[in-house]
Amino acid sequence: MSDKVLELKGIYKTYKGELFERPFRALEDISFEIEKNKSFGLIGLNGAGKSTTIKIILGLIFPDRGEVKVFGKSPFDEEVKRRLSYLPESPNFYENLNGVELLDWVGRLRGLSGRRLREEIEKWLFKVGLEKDGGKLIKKYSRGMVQRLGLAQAFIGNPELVILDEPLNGLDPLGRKMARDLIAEALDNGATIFFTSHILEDIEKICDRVCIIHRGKILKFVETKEVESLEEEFIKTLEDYEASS
Amino acid sequence: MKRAREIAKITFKQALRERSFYIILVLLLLAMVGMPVLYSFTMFEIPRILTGFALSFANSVVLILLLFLILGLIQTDLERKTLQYVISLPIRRKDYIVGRYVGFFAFSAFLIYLVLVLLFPFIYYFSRVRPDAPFYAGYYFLYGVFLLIEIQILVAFALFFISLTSRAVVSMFGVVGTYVVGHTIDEVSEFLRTRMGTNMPAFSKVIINIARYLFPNLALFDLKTNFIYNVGINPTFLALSAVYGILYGLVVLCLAVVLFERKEIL
Repeated sequence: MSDKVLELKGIYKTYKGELFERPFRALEDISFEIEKNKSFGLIGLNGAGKSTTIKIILGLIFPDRGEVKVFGKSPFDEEVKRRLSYLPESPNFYENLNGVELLDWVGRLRGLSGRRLREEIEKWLFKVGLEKDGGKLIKKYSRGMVQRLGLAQAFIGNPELVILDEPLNGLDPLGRKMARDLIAEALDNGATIFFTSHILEDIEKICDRVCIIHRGKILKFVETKEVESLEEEFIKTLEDYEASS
Repeated sequence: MKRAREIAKITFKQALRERSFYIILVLLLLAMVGMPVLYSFTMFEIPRILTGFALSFANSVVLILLLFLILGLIQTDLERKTLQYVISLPIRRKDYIVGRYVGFFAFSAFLIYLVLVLLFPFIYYFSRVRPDAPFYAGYYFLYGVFLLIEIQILVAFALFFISLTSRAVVSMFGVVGTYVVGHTIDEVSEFLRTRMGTNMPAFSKVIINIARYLFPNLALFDLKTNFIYNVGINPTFLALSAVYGILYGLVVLCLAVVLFERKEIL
């Protein structure tokens, strides 16, 4: 059986643009794969194509060309969706729910029920430090609390592929450490992590392998253990690209 | 089906906590207080006046606020990009549309019948105190069914428009437009048959005729006068109107599902 959790082959995506706007090519020939139980980082400047790549992996938008396979299947497959989770950048969950209700809902959709679901909710609220705020409406949460809840919903039910878009945004230093620990724990439990962040220090600590994306194109793959400083490598790659184009 | 049910349940819960719901409850309280006041000011036909007041309250105030509540929740999904997150969860796209439809319909049924049931004792009591006109309790509650048929059509249109566009404002105008055209198109078509109407430009007539076939005839479900006065009620007409409304809503819902399957959720 293949160990590839995620495969993207020759993905192109162009946004049509609004009336009187030119079409915008967001992705050009994007290809990469992630093996089981690895942590993979996608880094790039704003507008590089990170969110578009994630949307294609999640089946929210359709590529113009190319092929996406998650667990060897189409991202629209119901079973695929049960095996993955997603934390959006600046998540906006249903604000009229409280933390427990959101986790209960997500847990049910991931197939949990009864005692197991209750235990999972308690466990994840405790792990993200929201055990006393689970009954509060999400609209009353601070940004950091929403991010913590986002991490809890991403990990509840132990999904096999966890897609985290800027998961450390809005977290204080303790929160960031907590998030890194949760990711490390998920990796220990066999999960695969797909991660985007502007904070290269975090990527360096968490990811085995990194893909540098710029203006919709992949510039380089980097094994984090093989470079001294990811930030220097990133800047150098971008500067070399700009100089050559 | 199980996943659509989960969406429906969360929709109901969300709606219960919306500010518009509390505004409706406050207005309902005022309507309940207003019943004895209306009674004391009315000289004749107490049951008819009070029934008319209750049904108008349900048809105008409650229906409009309910539509704003539903459109507000849909707008949040689109503009705050919550939809991206929801669709990434283990649900199929059609589960989202069907779940939202069922959830909004269930909430509307709960609210409409809450209004009708809470206003009923006042009408019943006062029509016994001064029985100068008949009160048709069966029709009073049947009115809720036709109101719900109208609401389910409008909910289906709301979901259709969000499947068509990512702009919440387009969806809002679409539903409000459907409501206005749906309630007036019958009268406008009647006008075309009058002497003044026949003199209208051909282009306008074509537009009106297209609108007549494209938009639902919502006036069919506004049976207030018929139910209050027990006039012009034909069981076959009622049954056909109900079937027309339900089928219309379901067709629009199916179109919404088909479009939503192809929608890019940006």
